[in-house]
Amino acid sequence: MDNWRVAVLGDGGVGKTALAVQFTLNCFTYDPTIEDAYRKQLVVDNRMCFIEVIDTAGQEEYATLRDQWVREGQGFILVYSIASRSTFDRLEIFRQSMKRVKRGDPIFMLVGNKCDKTMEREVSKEEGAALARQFGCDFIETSAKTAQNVERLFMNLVRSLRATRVVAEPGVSNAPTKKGPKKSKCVVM
Amino acid sequence: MASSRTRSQAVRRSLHLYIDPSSYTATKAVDSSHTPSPGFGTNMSAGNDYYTSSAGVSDSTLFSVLCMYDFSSDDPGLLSFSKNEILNIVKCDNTGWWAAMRKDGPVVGWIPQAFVVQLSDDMSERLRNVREEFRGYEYEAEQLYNSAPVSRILPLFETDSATTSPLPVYEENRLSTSISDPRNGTRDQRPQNARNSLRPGNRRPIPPPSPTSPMPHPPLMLEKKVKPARSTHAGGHETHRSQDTLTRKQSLRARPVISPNSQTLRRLSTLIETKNTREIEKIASSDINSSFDMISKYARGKSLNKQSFGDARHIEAVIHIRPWYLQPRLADQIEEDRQGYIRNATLPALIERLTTHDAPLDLTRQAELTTFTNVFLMTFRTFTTANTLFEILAERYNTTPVQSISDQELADWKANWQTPTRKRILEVYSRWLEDHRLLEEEPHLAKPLTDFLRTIKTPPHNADAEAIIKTLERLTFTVPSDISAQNTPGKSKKFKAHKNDLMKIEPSDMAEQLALLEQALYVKVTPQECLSYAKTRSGPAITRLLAFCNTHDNLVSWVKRSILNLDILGKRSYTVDFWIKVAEKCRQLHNIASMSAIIIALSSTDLSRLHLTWAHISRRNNLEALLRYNDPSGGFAAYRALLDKAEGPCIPFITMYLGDIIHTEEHFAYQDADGRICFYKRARWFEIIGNILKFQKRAYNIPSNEPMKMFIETQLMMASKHDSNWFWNKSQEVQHSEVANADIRKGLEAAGF
Repeated sequence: MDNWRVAVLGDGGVGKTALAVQFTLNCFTYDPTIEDAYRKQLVVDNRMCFIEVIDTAGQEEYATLRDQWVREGQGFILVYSIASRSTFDRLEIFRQSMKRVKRGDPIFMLVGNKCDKTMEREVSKEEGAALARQFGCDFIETSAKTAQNVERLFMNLVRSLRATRVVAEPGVSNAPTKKGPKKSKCVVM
Repeated sequence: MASSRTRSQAVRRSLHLYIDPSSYTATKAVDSSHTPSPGFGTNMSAGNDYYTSSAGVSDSTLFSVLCMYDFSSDDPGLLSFSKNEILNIVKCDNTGWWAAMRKDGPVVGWIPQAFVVQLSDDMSERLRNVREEFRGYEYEAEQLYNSAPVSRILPLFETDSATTSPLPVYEENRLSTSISDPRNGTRDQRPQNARNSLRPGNRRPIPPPSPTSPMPHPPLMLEKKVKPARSTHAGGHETHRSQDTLTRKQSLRARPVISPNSQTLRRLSTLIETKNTREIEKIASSDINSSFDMISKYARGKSLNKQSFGDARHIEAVIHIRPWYLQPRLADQIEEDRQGYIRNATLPALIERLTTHDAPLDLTRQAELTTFTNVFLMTFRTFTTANTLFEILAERYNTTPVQSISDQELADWKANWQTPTRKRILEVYSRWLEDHRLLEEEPHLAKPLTDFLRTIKTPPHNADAEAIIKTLERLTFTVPSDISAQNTPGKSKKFKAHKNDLMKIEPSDMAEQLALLEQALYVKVTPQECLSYAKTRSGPAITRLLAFCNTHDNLVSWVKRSILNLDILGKRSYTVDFWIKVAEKCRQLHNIASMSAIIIALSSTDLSRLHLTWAHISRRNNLEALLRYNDPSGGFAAYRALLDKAEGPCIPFITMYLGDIIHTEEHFAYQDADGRICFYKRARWFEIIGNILKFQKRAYNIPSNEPMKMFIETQLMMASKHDSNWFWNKSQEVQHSEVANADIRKGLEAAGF
């Protein structure tokens, strides 16, 4: 069983909370003051894992908190809305923050949310894919409203996170959190 | 072993004298949950001498019980025991007398069921390993744990009340009769037994095969589990046997009443005794059936959480059965959940609830009503307009009675519906005006409201109306005063001239002035702005909220800038130390907003990479302690806990609450499928906004220092101009020069200097 902290980053109004809500709970018993409200079990490749989603909604006003999120997160979801060009253009800020705080390569995915809004699309899928190539990360379009690709997004992210865990040398863990997973494998280089 | 065995058999034989087999076969109706062991069962049906059968002691044990009280008796057929003992029950009798024996002792005797609680096998095993004096507590803890989310009392309502009548009050009725019947088990918190005694078939007690003495009652401390005094109790038992009637009376009076509202319970039992049940049935089957259903649903929901409470609620609901013309008409348009919170409702139904004035309310109901009023008045702008609300209220004030009403009923309606409802409507206006910013949010309503209030000339409402008009005038003509200015004490402190140099400022002065500055912004945030935040993240609707939030960012920038702009390592270290001290002072002042800004700045990558600066810092551990609050896990659980506990003036860090507002926005629809208002969403918002704004009324008693305030404001403004790239580049620059200087120093050291 591994344990991952995933921070959802992006501008206000791109649907970060909707993504987190769609992923962590599909039922309507919800209380944000309960710590487990943001946690979910997921089976990826026949292995169970725990994902804690750090939802940064409501923190857009606190730009300086960004470092905090990045420091606490192990994996990241960089979200923009396909219906808003400006949210797409501002992604660079978040990537910089990740690169500065994490040093080395942070594990993240680029996500074009609200893909149900085809009529209002401002950012094409190709542009998204191109930016992902430039960032060196995976890309996926999701809709938190219709739940399209939401679970897949998190599963892909867990796969990437697991891959680094196996490759990474012990001690060079870029996960400063106490809740980090116990290393299941020790690789002798 | 052999000798003890013979002895135990002897005792059993003697015990057998007390056990009449015929009553067994006649009344096998031992509760099905007490499944007898097979050997026991066959013997029982055969009606033979089962105790002399080859079945061992353990085989004949049905289950174990924990003794909750001391019990002693001179009767040889009874088994004396003391509190916290664990006994094995070998036979349950419907009379309430159970045959029990100790695990190691051979003696079998009758014990009163009311003095003990049944244990599951696991539990008895566990409790046997616990020291005797702690068993009671262990058991209670376990019960608390088990009973938390599950209803034990619910089945009682569902099965019994569903078949007999929709009126759960029948249960109460039976219970109250069973109270006076000392043989009929006892009413206690164990649902199984309660149920047992409630079954109609079990109600007539079978002639007791065993002790002929009436059931003694445990001492009256069921609730508090205070250790009952042994001596009084022993005496009590004697009294039971000699003065039966007296004891019955006493026991009726001195029953352990579960509900805290014992008065209500007693009132009800007399009420039900005197009234015939037909009347209650008639009431229930008439056209108010639906509303009664609602009441019972309400009470049932309550009983989920507060089992014992549910009873009291029921009783109250029954007492308040009112004629149809006093009943709420739209109650079926409100959907409540099991906790009694309103989930969805239509606007008319909500307003009806808002203006219904149920006469004597207990404190819990009163508090619920107040909360409901506040939720409604804070959030109604999200589902209707102020004008509509104003009109509906005014209309309701002038409601006329239904035509088909008799004169006597009309008088009753006037006294019991019109007057309280009008009073309540005026109360609502008054709250809206005083607590929910009618004048600030809807200034155009001031005139219609005054006009409306002036039309009220008849007592008893004219006094209330006038009072509201006076408040209206007072609020219109007084400029809302600044809280922080209000409380500035006369004597002003002498401030040291700091000449705009951070290094000459006292950290405590800085913290105090920051607190004043933040507070001035904080008190201006309004509930409506917080509500608007769910929809929009910018614009004029939330200016003051943003002003407060942005100060946080600006303070972060200032802290970083004040350090990065210094060329000399020693000065940088000194400044870092200075800010740590300020953060600590902020913590003491409960200025959580500034504290979090400062520690976020100090822990940011821009500053934390300056390793040489940090090497010279003495208060690092103090910073580490503060940084623990910054952990975002659990939605900033540490900050939440800190703010929950904060006393006195405080400026909260509100980012997690803003997140909650958005969560609520995303998570709950505005309306349900039938177009009813999702009131639960509003209730959640109310709760969150309450958390954000709850410190607004608590002002700091700190003298203002104008030059310093100016200095802080200028610095914040200047700092806000830098973006993250500037800080990153600057910090890189500083880091390089640190490393370069370190190399020079090392070189000098190596050269012998």
